Amino acid sequence: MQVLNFEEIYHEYWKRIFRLCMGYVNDHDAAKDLCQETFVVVFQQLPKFRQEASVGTWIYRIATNICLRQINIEKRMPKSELSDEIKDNSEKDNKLEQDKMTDFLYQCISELPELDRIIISLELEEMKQAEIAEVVGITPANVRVKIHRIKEKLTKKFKNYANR
Amino acid sequence: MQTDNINFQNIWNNKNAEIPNIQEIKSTAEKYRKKQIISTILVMLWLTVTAFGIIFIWNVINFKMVTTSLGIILILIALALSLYLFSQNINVIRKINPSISNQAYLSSLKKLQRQRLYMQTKGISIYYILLSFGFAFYFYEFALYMSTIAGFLAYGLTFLWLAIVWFFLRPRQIRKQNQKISKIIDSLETIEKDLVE
Repeated sequence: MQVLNFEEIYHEYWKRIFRLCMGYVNDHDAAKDLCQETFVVVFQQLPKFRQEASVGTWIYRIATNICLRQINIEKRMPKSELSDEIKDNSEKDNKLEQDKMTDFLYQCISELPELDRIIISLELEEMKQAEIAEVVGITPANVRVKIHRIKEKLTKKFKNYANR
Repeated sequence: MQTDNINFQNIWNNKNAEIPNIQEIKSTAEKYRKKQIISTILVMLWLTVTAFGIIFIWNVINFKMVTTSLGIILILIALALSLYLFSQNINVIRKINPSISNQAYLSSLKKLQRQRLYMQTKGISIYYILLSFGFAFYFYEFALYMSTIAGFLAYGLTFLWLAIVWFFLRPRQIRKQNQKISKIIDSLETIEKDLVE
């Protein structure tokens, strides 16, 4: 069994978990809080972790479940239809095109249904579809179909965004 | 912008943030641990106080009638129950192991919420029943010493108050809890539906 060191895990996974949480809430501070919650649980449970699943699967399960349980803590955010426009403000206008696109991507993802947000975030973190299936608890075939649909949706949004 | 073949991966990885100091995590974990210990101690303490209170009233104080002691005991039990119901409302979510799959986690959350709904709605009624009987028994001994009118007045007013609580306050409390928890259950069910699609 591999010896696991919390500090190594923290530095290896923090940015990935942050992006996942950002995709879920699209709010920098809220994402940081969710990230902190995740690593607190990782820290507490690491000694008990028996490595039946890979470390990655284990951490992503914790992070995604912590995102999901937000429903219990605060009011569910009203899910608005995907808007084609990113909120305009002068600060954002000065950003590089790449950064604007990144903001737009995170905004689009955070407006998807909860599980779709999780699935596409894990896919973008280059997780294998079989592992995504393990995290979410659906079949790999189902994961493939969902990823395809979500990417189609996102591509459409980006096309509209470009043609504005 | 090139949109024929968008590389979402690159756009996604472009998001950056500073990694906070690892010490923050460790101190937050320590804070949670201490909080957990303190709340466990408080609950134990409260239960011990209640238990001793009951033993004390039953054995040490000599009310002439059993009903008086019984009344106080019922009131104490009602108070202990209300504390339990209150503590059930905080931090129960943390008790579910979060390293299971999303699907399993969602169904655990739902089960927990259903239990909570049952406890909060039934529990509130049990609390008021215990409290009403507690007062009824407790006042009996004193009412015997009062004039008939005073006795009627004491009982009448107490039960008028209890009736108001039972018929107006209790349904409102239950409705509020019901709304809050049902909303969460509904949201959970919506997410679960996406799983099977």
